[in-house]
Amino acid sequence: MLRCCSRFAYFWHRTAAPLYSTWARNVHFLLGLAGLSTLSAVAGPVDSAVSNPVAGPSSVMAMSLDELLDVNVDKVYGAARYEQLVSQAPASVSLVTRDEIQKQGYRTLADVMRSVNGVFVTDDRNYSYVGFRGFNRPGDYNSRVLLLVDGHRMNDNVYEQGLYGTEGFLDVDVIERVEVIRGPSSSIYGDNAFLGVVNVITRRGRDLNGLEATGEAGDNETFKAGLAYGKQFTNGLELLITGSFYDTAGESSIFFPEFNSPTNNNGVAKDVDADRAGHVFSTLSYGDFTLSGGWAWREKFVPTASYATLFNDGSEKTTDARGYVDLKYDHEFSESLRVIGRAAYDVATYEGVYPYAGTPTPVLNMDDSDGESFSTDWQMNWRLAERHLLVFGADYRENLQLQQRNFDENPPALYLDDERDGRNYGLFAQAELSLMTNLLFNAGIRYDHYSSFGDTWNPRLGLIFAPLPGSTFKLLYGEAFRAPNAYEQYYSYPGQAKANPDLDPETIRTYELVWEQELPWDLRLRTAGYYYDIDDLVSQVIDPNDDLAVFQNFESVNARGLEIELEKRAACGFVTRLGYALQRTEDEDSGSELSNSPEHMVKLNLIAPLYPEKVYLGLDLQYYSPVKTVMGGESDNVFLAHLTIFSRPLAKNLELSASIYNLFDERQGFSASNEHLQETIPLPGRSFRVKLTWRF
Amino acid sequence: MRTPSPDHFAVGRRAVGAGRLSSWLARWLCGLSCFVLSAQAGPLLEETATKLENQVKAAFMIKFAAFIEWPEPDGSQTNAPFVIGILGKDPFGNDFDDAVRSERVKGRRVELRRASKPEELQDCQVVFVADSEQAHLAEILQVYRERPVLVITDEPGAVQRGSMINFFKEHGKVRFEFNLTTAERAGLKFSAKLLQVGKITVPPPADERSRP
Repeated sequence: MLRCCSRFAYFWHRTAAPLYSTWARNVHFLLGLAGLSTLSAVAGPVDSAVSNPVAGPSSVMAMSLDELLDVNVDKVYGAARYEQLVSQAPASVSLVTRDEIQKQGYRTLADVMRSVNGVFVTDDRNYSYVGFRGFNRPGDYNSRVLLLVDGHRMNDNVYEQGLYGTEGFLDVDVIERVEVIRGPSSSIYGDNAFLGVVNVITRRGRDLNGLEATGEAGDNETFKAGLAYGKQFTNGLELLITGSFYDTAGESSIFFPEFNSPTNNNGVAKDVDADRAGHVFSTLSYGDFTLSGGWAWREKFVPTASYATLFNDGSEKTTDARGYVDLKYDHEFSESLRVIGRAAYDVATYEGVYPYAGTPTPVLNMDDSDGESFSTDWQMNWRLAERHLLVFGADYRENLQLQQRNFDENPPALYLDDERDGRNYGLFAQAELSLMTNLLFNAGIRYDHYSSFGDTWNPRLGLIFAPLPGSTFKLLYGEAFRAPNAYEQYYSYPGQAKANPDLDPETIRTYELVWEQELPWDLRLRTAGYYYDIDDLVSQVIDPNDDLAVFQNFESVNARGLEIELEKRAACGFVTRLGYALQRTEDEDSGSELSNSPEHMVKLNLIAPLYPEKVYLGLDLQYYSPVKTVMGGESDNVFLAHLTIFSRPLAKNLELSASIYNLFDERQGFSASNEHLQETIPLPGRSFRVKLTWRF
Repeated sequence: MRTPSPDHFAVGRRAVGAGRLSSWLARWLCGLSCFVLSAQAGPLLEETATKLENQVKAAFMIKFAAFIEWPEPDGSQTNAPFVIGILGKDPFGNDFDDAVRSERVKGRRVELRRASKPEELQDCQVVFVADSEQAHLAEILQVYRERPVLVITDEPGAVQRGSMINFFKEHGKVRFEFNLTTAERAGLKFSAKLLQVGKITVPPPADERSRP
């Protein structure tokens, strides 16, 4: 029925659109959805015992034991920079907990993101790319999704790239919870919070309360070992210290039909898929202060011969490192006034090695970047008359170093050595006003200033309405921006590419209606209908005057879609989540669909207890409809299945999990970016992993 | 991240729509004011996330009493108030006082007592150990050892260390787990209904012995 509605909406847009302004169209689209939602809400039975997002103390106290067990207290921090109930957040939010990460055998943050409804993750056997709501342009570097670790900004300052795969900053075992917040949040975060925000919350020392050792092994000579220690001491000091190392030989042979010639080993890339990573992360907190920091390093050999490098040579690789030290101060001056401040130093480096034909040995071209920054963020949360909340804040970032280099090692040749610095600051204000017992108004606006392009203002408005217990509607509007990064502004290469320091930020406007409904039999329904419009997209084009590639604010894109998720969480430990996303993207100039934008995605997450409280089965099924490739063709349907058996303490303090990834050995991949000769990049084949965790 | 070979040609740049923000704000504010004026004003009871969770926990603490039997050393004391102690930095605030005013536990009125030292709460029927005191849990449990005091905590692992009921969160809902060994030692009897809705993390000593 919902699908019909969206089809109707689509038809309506196509035929009657010229009669309406963009604004009127969007409002009608959302109103149509609202009408449908309300109808369904009235038609379906409503469980009166479920939680009202805006229930008062007396109503909670009057509940029975069973009713209390049913109150949903799911919280999210990243949607508004303070802790709030998910039902009250001005966004559509999904949470993935450590419990699910263990039971589903997720290996990286990219695996976690893949399981989330409406999120589309691709992998070119080098980096993972996270797309939201139909937007995952091949060749872009995750700069339109803000990635946070405990509120600390993780997008680096040269590429503004968030790292999710084995290149990610955190080992997945350190993660307590992942908050996935859809939609724009530039009104509180500024840059990168364009399509969504991912806030990763790490485990606390007390959650471990001792030493934990993990060991993993899998096929393709995959090994991982980790050690973690956490404790809260009697003097109040809390410590977490973790470290891990991962090593895999990767797939021993990968066939790329595009390279199928005798000079290229008949298209087989042999033993050139290795991956190594090391992670260290620690937090130390005492009273109002938390000192956290970490270092992650990853070296990936690239089997795809991207950028027209030598095929099956074995020396193409990328090495990324990311580290930070962050000191956070969080003090409650009174019940109504809280001040949070932080100061941090960040570093991110990238080093690429690209082999090209040469005599007598191949020429190695090196492509490096080095970003260093100092930042400080301050915010004040001020609660008024117990029911309104005002947040004021200021963020400042000084880019101490933005360096990009490109050179050949032997014979030596320097093509690029660009060093920059820069700074930006933002000021924001946000109000959450409780207008009635069941109506919240959330409004925020942020001003950002960049030394490179100047100023930008971004608002976000949300009305959150709970007409009946267990039923929430959110009507949302937001604007966001993405600042052009140093790579887009200053990268150049003689005879091929030139810099463009005059780039403007990209902008997005998003309209959204979210409906969350608690249903009988422990069922929960979440739907979101959205429309967004992106202007001034930074795209690479050829300047006809000199035939050089250059980034320009050039394309415009609009998209609309619908996300529906039905979840059942039974008391016995059964969890089923079925998600469907329908998304239609359109390049406004050509009228065609964007590449790497599947129209349909279906995700089924199942956790079933095989032996109560002890052994669980995790099943993660994903379906993606064909996508348009950069070359103009179409990829195939993709069907992925991952299976995990997880056991809680098997012997005393020993946890075991066994997983099979890509159970049906699906090899069809998604669109490659245009630095590849391949049209699509094949997915890694079936593999297994066994993991043991000891607690001391 | 080298420069890929580009596949489009440049066309003219688009200007950002000026005045977009102000016109949108105006539309929203207008719409909002219409909405508010047409709706009836009601009592304002908006709850914050942490507050709601604490209210649920507070409500549980009151409800538990109906499903637990305390050893009654002296029948004459039944008219005395049922006392819930909060040890350390109180997370519940004044709301809890307002809420318990009308509550009755087994016909007795409920009294809240707050303290920073466990010795000051020895006569309570229930003691909630707040976050600020978690690190001292072992010493606190020593103070109430062998006394009919129901010790409740809100901390991972606390129930293994001897707390009788510990709150935890599962799938976004507040759950609780029991240590029946320490509860039995204190002379507290949990009803079957209560055991059914919570999780028995530490079974009573008899069960422990009978296990293989």
